[in-house]
Amino acid sequence: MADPLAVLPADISVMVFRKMSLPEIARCMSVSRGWCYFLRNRAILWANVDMGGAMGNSDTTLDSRPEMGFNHLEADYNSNDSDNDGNNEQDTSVILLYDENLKTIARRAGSAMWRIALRFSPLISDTGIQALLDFRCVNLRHLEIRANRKISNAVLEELIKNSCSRLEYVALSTTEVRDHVIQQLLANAPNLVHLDLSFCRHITADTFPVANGSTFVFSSTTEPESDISEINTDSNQQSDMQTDSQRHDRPMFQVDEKALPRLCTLLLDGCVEVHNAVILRVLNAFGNSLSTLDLSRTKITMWAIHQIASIEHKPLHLEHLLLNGISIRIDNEQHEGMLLNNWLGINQRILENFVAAVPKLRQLKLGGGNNLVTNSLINMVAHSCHSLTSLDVHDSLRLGTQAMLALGEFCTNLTRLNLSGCIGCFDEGIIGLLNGCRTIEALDLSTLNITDECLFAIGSLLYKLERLFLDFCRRITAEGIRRLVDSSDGFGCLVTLRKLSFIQCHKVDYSIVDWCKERLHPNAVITYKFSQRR
Amino acid sequence: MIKLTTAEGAIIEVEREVIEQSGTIRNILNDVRMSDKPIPLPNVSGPILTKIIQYCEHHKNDSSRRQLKQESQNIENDSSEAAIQRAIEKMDEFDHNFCRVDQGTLFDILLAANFLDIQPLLDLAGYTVANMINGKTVKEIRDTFHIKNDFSPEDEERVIKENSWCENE
Repeated sequence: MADPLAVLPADISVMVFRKMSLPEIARCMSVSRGWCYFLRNRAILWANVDMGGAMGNSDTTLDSRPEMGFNHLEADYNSNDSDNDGNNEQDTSVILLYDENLKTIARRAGSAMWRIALRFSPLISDTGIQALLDFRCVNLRHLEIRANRKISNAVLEELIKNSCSRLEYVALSTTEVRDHVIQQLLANAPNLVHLDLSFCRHITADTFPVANGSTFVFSSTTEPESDISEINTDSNQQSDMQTDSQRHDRPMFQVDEKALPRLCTLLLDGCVEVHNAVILRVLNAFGNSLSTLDLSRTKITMWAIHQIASIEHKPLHLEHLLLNGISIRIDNEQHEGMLLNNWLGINQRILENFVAAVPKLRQLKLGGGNNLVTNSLINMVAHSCHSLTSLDVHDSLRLGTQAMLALGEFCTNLTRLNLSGCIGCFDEGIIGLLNGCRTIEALDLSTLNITDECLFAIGSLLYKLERLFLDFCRRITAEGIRRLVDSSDGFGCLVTLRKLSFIQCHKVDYSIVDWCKERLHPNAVITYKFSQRR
Repeated sequence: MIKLTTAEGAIIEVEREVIEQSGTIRNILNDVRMSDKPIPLPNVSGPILTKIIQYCEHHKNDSSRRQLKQESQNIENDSSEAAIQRAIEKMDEFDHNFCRVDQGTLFDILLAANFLDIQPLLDLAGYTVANMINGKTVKEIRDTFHIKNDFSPEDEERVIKENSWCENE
């Protein structure tokens, strides 16, 4: 029974404390004067600021992110889970940092600081980031600031400018960051691998350089004054001065090909100002290394497929291509009209070029109600992308049996499949698909006009199924669900199923819910709701 | 068989394969030709060495462990919580029981594992100590380790205020 700091050598004590989270270490400072002194002066203990928060549960490493195809389903599943057994209690506690708290940590860590993950820190403002600069926290390898509208571009740019040489992971999603800041980052951070700018409303295609021989040209950008004055209302004088100098237009500049980072992941989903020009720029600059590209919910149109098809240095390394919710709207760009005609006429050659450009594709998302996902597109993808494991084509009205059968025949590695809203798919196609893809783990068949026969096939074929969504499948009955859960060989998905949803399935009643609860795993979540409609 | 001399001067024999999980011993054996002379371990007591040999016996066959160890050193990039989670998953029942000892023994194991350079054991014991602190209030930590609060009231208030953010929920 003794004070560990008195018994153990300092390096072992540090090793022990490094296995604890930052708030725990901070609490330990109040134990005694010895502990306080010891902990305050071990910079390494304060060098990883990870405050948990919204994404604390899911790993943010490169390989876990692509799983987000079923993100909303997953999140739902997790939160219900924690209600059941309180397992995730720790992850839900969010610690809100204020500027002065960040300053305290920055002072203790100093130049040892290498990771800042502020996933939910709406209270941090320029003062906090300035503190990082003041205490020379500029050896950062990981910079993550999400959901923050208070930090000005000037301070952010200063931080990035000072620490860019080591930065590997940058996530600034849902911030007010602008093109010129990211331009600086791309031009000066040779080690950058992961860049997440999701839901940054000011980001445009101008962030990315245009290829010009072996150099890359970053275009000039302007910073609107209105934005600056708005930000300045709560920032200090120093940043006032800095933003003053920024009212001028940023001149264009160019960098050598070799200076560009070898980016692996680029997430731009929800960047509403990003349009088609981004595709060529990004693929020319980072095509040799990029494996994940997310352009969901941007201004991108089906022209994107065209451009990927026309890219010069093939094949690309793209493994995850996320284009959910891309529009078919014809914007001001001249080529659109021409393209649309081409596309609707289904140009076989373009499709061939497209699939040839992305042979390594593992995840493809093209969902979101555009009429351009056709049987021949999916056919072509199925024929050449055999390693496809995750496909999301929700609300693709033109998909039918033909595409399903092709997937079943060639894409036998599928584990996640979202077909919700593909009302052209019926029993025949789905059952054919299931026969080939028996390792599916997550399946969304919401609103499809499928019958009990299909459920029976699911029950007897998919031995790894974990999540199944059957919302608004009007034709399925309680008997179908019974057979799904208790399939003929008694071995179907009964053991693996953790989430089953049948909201608004008319012919199903409440009795089946209890029946399912009895049979499925205790942690399994069943969602259901039946309206009173007759 | 390798002979080891404990702090008390007693000689303990152990299979080479088992004790080679210790980096220190491995290096000695690589540097010095095999001989019958016992290797002196002046800062490891007999009971602790026996305990450590038990651990090595149990883990002598998990060759994957060595890779995992390398991995865990690389995962500095990891958030500490995720790393802890992963480490806990790696532990088996033996590991859990192995650490059910009094504090003095636990600290001695930590010191010995450090001296003998057995990284997985160092981690295991490290996590055990960290777990004794994790989730406790300051008073509970003091009680656990019999530490006297030697702050002056003003100092204590200042330190608590400085770190008040750690209690936010």
